[in-house]
Amino acid sequence: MEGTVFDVQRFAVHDGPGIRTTVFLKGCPLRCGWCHNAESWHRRPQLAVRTGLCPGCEECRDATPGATARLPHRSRCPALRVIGRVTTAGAVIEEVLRDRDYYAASGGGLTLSGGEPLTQPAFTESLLRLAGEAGVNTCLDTSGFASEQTVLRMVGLVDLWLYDVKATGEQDHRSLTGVGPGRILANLERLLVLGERVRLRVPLLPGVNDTHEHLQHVAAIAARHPELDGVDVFPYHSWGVAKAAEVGATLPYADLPSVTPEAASDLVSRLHRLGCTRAQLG
Amino acid sequence: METTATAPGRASTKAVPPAPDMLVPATSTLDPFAAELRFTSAHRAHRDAHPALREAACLAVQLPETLAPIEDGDLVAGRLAPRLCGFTPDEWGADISLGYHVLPRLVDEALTTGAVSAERRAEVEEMLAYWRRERTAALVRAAYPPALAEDLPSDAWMGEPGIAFPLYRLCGGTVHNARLVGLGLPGLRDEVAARRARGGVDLDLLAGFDQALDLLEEAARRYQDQALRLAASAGPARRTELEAMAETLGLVCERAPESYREAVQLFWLYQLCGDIRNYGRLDVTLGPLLAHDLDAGVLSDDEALRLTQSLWRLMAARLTRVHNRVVVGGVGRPDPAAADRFALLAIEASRTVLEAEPQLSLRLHAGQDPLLLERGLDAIGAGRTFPILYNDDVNVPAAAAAMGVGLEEAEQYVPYGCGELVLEGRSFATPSGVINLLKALEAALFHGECQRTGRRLGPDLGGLETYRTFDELWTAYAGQVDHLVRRLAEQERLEYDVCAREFSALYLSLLYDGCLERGRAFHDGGLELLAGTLETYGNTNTADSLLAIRRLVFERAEVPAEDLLAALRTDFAGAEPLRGLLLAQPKYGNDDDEADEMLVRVHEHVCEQARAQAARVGLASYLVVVINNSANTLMGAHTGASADGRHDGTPMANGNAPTGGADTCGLTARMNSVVRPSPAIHAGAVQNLSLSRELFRDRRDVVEALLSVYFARGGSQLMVTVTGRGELEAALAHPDEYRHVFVRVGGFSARFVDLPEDVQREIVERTLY
Ligand code: SF4
Repeated sequence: MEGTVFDVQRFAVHDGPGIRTTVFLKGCPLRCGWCHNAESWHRRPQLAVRTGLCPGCEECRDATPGATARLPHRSRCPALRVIGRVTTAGAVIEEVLRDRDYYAASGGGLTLSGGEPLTQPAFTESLLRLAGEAGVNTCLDTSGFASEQTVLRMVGLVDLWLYDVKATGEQDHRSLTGVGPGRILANLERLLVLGERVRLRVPLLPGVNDTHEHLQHVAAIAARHPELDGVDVFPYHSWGVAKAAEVGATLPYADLPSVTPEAASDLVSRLHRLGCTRAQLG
Repeated sequence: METTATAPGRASTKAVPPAPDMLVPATSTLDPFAAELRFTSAHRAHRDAHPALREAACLAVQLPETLAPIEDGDLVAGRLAPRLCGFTPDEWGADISLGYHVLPRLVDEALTTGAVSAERRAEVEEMLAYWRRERTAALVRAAYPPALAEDLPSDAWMGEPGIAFPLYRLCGGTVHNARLVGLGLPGLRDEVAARRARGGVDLDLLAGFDQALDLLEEAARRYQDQALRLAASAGPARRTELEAMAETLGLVCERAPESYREAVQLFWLYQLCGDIRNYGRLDVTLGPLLAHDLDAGVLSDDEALRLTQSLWRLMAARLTRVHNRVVVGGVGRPDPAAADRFALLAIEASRTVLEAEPQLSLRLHAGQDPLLLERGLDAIGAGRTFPILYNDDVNVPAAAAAMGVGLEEAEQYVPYGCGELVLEGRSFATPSGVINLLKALEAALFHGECQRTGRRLGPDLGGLETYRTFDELWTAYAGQVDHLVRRLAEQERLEYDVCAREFSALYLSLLYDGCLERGRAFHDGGLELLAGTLETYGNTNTADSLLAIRRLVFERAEVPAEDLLAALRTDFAGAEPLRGLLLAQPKYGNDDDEADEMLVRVHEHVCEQARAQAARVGLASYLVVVINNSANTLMGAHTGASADGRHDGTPMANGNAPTGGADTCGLTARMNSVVRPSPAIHAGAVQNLSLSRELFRDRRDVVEALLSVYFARGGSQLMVTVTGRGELEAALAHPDEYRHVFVRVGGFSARFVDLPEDVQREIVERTLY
């Protein structure tokens, strides 16, 4: 089973419990304005151009950031990099299993992230299945934007869903992420009904999506579902801006500064005041 | 290795006015040379005496001069003052200063800054001329047979390009301090007397032992007098402390220690008299009397801590930078419960005394009281860099295999200095040679010449453009290394032999197993396990470079040899794309089999080559150590651009660690790589790990899991620095505000802002997790 992966991060300690390996899958149907992995959007491998690194060899002069065609086989120019490689689920799991001792000792495992892993359903399923067979704990980091059928395909294979709640209201959700919230919320409810373990992830951008209405909505979901594993708040940081430019993507909040630690705890406190006492910094 | 001046001039002399019988350090007296001239006369007068007697005669002049006054706050007596010439079995200061030595730079300084009469100046010049001939290091160098002198032409390892250099020192002595504390001064005297009575022994050596013990007693008495004098004019609280100190000093002259206080005092004075800088298993030495005093109510917990903190400060005042090892924990301790109580006290002292030394080292093993590691991690998490962690489950069998001893004997392993392992009181293995493997590769690529200067480094075994296969390159590289490893082993044996003719290292020999019994100095047939070690540098860059060359030049023929050589010679000027390609090749530290296997190949080759020399030159073992201090930076400065993409003159990777920034796959990948080279064929390798303060604070469970798996997978040792990259960057910019930040540089801890700027930059570059 083949798929497209753009990064593998070992010793990931912020994508689920314990020490984990996070595998980033390429492809995402959303266009969140704050995306910190815009190089993941396109399903196929892409050219990233870092003009700052150009040593003057001219190889990158005509290169198009984000191009998916005629990728250099092996570029000698440090300014050019291909994002994403096509690989097999077996090869990925082989690397993942190199750290199984660390997972066992820390309660960690494999996390699939992206991009949106559910845009590569067969590959995602295959990775989850292989990990499960090897006794490795699995997390799936998802926007939830996929067909019900795709989501159901993963039920039973995911030990913990890391599930985004990005905005509230049809209009806001659509303008901030490019898609409406209906399918996402329905899938979330479905998973909870099925007894899947889910943790909410709440990206917050002051002045953009930290509206009272949205926080109230998050708090309401948490109140309705005490069985939720937890609620993690992710305050905005601007690290993704430069990476996006390298693949020719622009992010609307490029000028927004990263949230300070004080402002971050403020966001959490606001959720606490709304009764969502389980909210914590992710 | 002492890479930075020990700066004798910096030993503190503040606070207490000099007592008439406690000579102040020479540099602050009106006649800065009186003591040195007397020392020189004593040496001259005993030029043809038995080495033990000459040493004792010299120490009789030196010790009263260099044992510096008690300072405010000291609860234990004993400090060392600077000197311009003197004796140490080890090395002293930045100059080449093994054995009897002079520090010409400091003499010059004193001559230019002090008001020195013409007559005195002439005497000093004459003294310098005497020591130029007679200093022990010069005698070692003069004894080189022609072939050795030809292959090791320079001693300037920090200042000149070269593959291999000798070092002059008998370093790393770690004696049986438990025997010292068990017997005390009277007991040791009795043992010497009993040996004399049995006959058939070198009586001069025994006389030297007696004199060494007398000198120690005299030192204790002088300190006792000083303590009483200070007490007379001190406030009530300080008076009580000084009176207790004086009483203790009197008692250690008369009996074997019966209290923790006495044990600490005797231990400390002995180390200073013998210039012994690594203290071995101090929990074994001091634990039983500590436990006794605490249980008997003689000493409160708080008093015990304050005494230990004072000892820690006195250790720090020695400014050794790379020594001052205190080892606690581990298997093979006769009274583990008592020892653990000292171990916990030591950890607490390290957590609370904000100094870069001592280098507290905690040995861990399955079944140990988990509290030791827990407290150890607390201290590390507080940003203290100590304790350094050692894994007995790996190290005991590894030391047994490497040193060729039984498991039980290997249980007594202790790290000293930057991380070399010896057996406490049983083996001695000075690291008296350095080899820069990356420079050896340079010689293999450029016909035996230095790519920066064209100077000859080794024989012309070919150049990259002449090799048809990678194996031919490897053979040439190995040829450059092997030859010099052989020479360094010969040098090491020779150094012991010359030193044996010059001095007996009385304080060391007396507490090393077998020396008194055999009636021989430790390096003169007294010690069964007289061994050696060889410091290797550039291991990682060499492996990564070899792999890049194998892939690009030989396997894929993608880069012509000439192109690579030209790029290296010009430090990649105009060849950035080629450099990018080199950087993109697999690198050690990413859990990549191909890269890790090359590192293992480089490691095994030099380790085995060294091991094979022991029998040939007559050492119990001759083993590689992959330690680090700042030699990777200092030697890197004389090493050209390398095929791993490293720029000309920049630091090489630290110890066996991946190149900073090259380990891109995450911490666990790095940890998996670094356990690959076998610890059973060398005598110590260090691993540094920088963890972020946040991770340590918020995810202690993760940190503990990480360490436990690393050790379970064969990790032998780990030094953990807890810090934030932001903090280090800020410290670079505003050094004055960041004096509290400590980091580990390979073998030692240092205040970050005290390090040279290039070393600081290199640390910031190292990956932080
Ligand atoms: S869902 Fe995630 S990957 Fe996709 S655009 Fe939004 S933030 Fe980026």
